Amino acid sequence: MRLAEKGLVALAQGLALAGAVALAGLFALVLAAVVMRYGWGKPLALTEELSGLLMTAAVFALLPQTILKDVHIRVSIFSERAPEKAAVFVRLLGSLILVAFLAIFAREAWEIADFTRRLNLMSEHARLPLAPFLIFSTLAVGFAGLCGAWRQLSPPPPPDARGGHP
Amino acid sequence: MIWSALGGLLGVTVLSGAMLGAALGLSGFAILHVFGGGATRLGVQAVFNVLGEFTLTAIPLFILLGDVLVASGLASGVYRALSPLFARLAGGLLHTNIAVCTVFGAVSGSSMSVSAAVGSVAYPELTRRGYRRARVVGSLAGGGTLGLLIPPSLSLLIYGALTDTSIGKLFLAGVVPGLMMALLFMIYIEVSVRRETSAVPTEPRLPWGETLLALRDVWPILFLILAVLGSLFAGIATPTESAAVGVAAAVMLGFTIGDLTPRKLLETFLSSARTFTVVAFVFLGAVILAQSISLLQLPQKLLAEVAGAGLSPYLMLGVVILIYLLLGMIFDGLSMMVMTLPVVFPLLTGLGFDPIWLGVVVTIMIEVGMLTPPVGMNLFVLVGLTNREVTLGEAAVGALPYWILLLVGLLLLTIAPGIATWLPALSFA
Repeated sequence: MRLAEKGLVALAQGLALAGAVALAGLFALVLAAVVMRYGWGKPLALTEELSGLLMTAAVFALLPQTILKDVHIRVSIFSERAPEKAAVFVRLLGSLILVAFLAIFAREAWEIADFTRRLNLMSEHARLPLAPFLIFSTLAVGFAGLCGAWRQLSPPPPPDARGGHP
Repeated sequence: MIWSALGGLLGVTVLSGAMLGAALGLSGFAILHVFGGGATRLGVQAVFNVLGEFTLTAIPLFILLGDVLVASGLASGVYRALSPLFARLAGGLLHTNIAVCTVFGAVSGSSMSVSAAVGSVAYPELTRRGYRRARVVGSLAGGGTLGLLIPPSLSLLIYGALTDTSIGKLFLAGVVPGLMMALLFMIYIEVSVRRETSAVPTEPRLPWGETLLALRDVWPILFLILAVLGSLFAGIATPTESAAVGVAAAVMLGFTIGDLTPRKLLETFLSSARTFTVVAFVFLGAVILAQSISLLQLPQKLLAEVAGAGLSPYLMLGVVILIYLLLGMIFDGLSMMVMTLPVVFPLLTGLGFDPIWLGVVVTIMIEVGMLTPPVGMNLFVLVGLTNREVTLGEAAVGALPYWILLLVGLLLLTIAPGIATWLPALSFA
């Protein structure tokens, strides 16, 4: 069980690093576009489309880790004030909503990615292949769903791991 | 039927405490499935289309810019430089909070980033000097909202991208209202502190020579403002490019005169990407919901009903503002905007309101939402920053005068729309 959790966390961390690299790439690309346009008089044709794809990839790459770390915005005015038994139900409902949403998203995204791959669709101007980005995003969303389910189903960490007293 | 289904779904999913993006997105999927003939794929397609927009790539870059400023210690340098000047006023360093938020607003597009950046420097310093905690938090929460109004602004950027309105004009439209709000905040601080002198300690006054000399340390932020807004308004760079130019300038300053190290920079990329993902997840859910609202032609139906009801434009504006006030209690600003714009934009521009002016009005309403409990994001950020020395309730009470002043600003803007439209009209004439 703990081994599976370690694997899940390590994969999420690896994806998060890939997302950070995508953001760094996005920054370098946009800056290079400005420098190329004014320094060499040659604008980079692929900047607009590639930066959009990098941004998409960065968002989905960091989704699993942010879900595991539970840093997303919630409206918790009722769930935090609910009596203990009701709170358990509300938390379960919240997790189900997350997993259901990500599952539907991943299913539909996979159809779009598969269609894009079969027709070898390219971006409009720079002719960048779209399928790799869509497949990566879809797999990351699916993995994020797994992370969401794991957070609900996994046994609570030992007391010292939660910062409590032994 | 559709309205009650929408309200019921949102009520259950959002109030369950589920992650907001998932709650909004699942509601959108359900509407698309039941009322849209199973067209859930359209929601996902809309997400990929919107996330691929070049204009929106400015968002992570502006977040990165704010994070680099904090990581490099440039934020604290600017605060120290401006403090002696405002220490001469009765409100003391509370004025500095507003002034630094205004200056930071000109390089950061996010209200929360400004609150966090200035708050992390100002809160420990001001409480150590004996300022009342709730007053400090209130001024930081209020001042932080200026980050969203003074260009570059993520809110105006998203508004422009979603409504096909000129982002350059929108940014210019935010300048005067932003400065007006800063002035209103400072007037309030001065008047209230003069009435209740025990609220703030008396600051030692430095001679004018030393005060002016300290101001020289403001130059890094002025350089950044020039890099970001200068490149944008001179027409040299697009909003995304100006953000990248700003990040490059901030990194350069951070390495040369700040505390930035390669390790800190790498950590900043990771933390900025994480922050952006949190923002983007809400955005993603709101886009799916907005897609379902648009597909079912709900805006058009609402427009037809409003036209039939014969409400005057200003009464309709009042109704919209009231709805934003209520939504601001529950939703964060970004999702509120993405969800409502498909209805509000055609509704109010159809009634004759200027789209540029409306962008500023919507941004102010989002700022109001940032200070409205229980989901006031600026309050959350600052309460977290104080390690809960200040409760959410105390923070909300401290921010209440700024909340009221934002509504006063909105009233002024409605009476005199030129406050927002004058500068873009002048520049684009």
